[in-house]
Amino acid sequence: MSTQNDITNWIRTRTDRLDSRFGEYDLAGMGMLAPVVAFFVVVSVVPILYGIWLSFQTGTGAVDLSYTGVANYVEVLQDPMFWSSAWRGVIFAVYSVVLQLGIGVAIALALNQRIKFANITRAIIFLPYMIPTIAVAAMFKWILQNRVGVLNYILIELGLIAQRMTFFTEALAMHTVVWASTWKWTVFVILLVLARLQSIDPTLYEAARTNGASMFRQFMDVTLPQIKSILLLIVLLRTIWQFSKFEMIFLLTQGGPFDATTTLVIYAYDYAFGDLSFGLASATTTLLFILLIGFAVVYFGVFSPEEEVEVTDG
Amino acid sequence: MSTADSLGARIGNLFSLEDKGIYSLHRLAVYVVVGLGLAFFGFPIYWMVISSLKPRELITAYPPELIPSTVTFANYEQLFFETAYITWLTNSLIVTGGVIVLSVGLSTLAGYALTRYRIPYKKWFAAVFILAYMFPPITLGVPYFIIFLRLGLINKLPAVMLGTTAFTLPFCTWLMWQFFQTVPLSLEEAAWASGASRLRGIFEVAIPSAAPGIVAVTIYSFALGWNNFLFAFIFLQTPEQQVLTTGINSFMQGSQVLWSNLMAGAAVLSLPPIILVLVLNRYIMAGFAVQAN
Repeated sequence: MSTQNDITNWIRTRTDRLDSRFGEYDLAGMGMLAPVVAFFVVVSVVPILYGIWLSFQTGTGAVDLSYTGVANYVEVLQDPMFWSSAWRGVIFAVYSVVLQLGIGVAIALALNQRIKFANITRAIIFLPYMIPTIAVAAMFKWILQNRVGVLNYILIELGLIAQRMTFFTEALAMHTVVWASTWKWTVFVILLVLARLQSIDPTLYEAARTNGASMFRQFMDVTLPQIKSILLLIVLLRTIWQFSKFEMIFLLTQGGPFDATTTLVIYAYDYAFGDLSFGLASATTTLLFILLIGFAVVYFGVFSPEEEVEVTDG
Repeated sequence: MSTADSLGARIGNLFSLEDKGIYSLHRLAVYVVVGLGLAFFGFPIYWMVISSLKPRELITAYPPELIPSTVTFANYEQLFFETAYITWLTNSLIVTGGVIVLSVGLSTLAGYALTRYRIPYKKWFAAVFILAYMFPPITLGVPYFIIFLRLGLINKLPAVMLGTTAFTLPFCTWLMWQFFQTVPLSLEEAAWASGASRLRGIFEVAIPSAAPGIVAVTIYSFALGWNNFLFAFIFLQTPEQQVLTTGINSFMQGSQVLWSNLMAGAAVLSLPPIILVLVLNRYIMAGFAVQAN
């Protein structure tokens, strides 16, 4: 009797434990997480590893691949075009992040004030982020059109230029793709900075005002320290994303004219889908990824934006 | 005494006047920034919509009419009935729908699990998600192309769906993880106490309480699915299998750009996300508040 009871109890505690625990972890929770992990492995981890494997293969197209050692890396790293594309990628990223940050912070500060028609103003300023890149590219191609484009008309009417300009020349194409990117992605900066601004304790400003701080000093002493960490995180994310941008550049200029807007991503695309040299393309994207990781590691080391991530990681 | 008083009052007046001066200068600066922002961000959208409403022969007129004298829907009629727009639209809806279902379903489960259960290497999940969030799409585009070619998925919509979900899922999971942390466990405990099972607690208490998170995740995966160009451009090769983004791109190719088709097509493409933002504005702000918290 008692033995049977003991056994039943023993079985019950064992199954209970198996039911709810796996060692010190929860089996049910791991079961719920499993689909995401499986999906992530199949569509991200495996293709990434396959891409690295590809970077050591040679052959045209997807068939007849054969091992070639580090030859692809040597070829890519010896190509002056690789280095100039990387440099254009840096220019594109830094130029557009500086613009986005400047415009974004200014607008976030303004929107944080009490203004008339605040809701409709916010809605209009937030729209560009939702407009698909292809539509943005189409819009800017049309507005900047050199014969009948409306920007030329407006600039001439305002007396800023005497003759119609071509915005897609070798000299201007980089500015054009940067400003089009800024139009779409500045909202990201506005949203994050605005959210942070609204969480600043208003008594901090009152204290600063009682001490006679000017608007400028209030910004430097109260606002800036409060938004500094989010700005550091924004700079990291936006720099990496801008450096990886493909669509805006490809749709507006295809990397031209005369490679004036060929960034590293366009360079890799041309190898893969222009020349069908998947080995060289994979070597380029692997180098691109190493470059981005390197940038992130150095950035984390210097600025520690993870403080911001840990706050959200709660 | 009285002179000193009035002097004091006058100085006080002077200060408050000066205060007002600074104040109104400050107000002016705010409105200048807002005005420039509205012009910069608003005008291109206005111009796209206005151009799409102009009669075909007026669209390329110079000088352009800033406010059109005649408005017509002819470009939209042409777009829907004389191009493959409806096919592209259907394909876009299928791809976007698939991305949303996969992203929302998987990330809700995972977000709940990461919040409520003891899971090994939790910190690593956060790190891997953030890393994956920063991954350049072209890096996956090349291996995907060959894998999908071997699997016979090239020219099939699921290829675009899977590729896009690989990019939505890390951020969606992370966002749902954040959102479930804002749902107090006590709500579920109350449900259990009144006899609800764990599963019922999840579906009837936890998930409804995390509804703003699910809305944010839906919008995010909608945006990425609807927006996607690169994967559709690489994977889809026949005209019948194009989605809206790649279809509209075909209007831009060739020596003669069809501006009227292009502007109408871009406007229709932009409409659903714009409506979503306007309708769900407060949820988006909630999403960003959690993100920026």
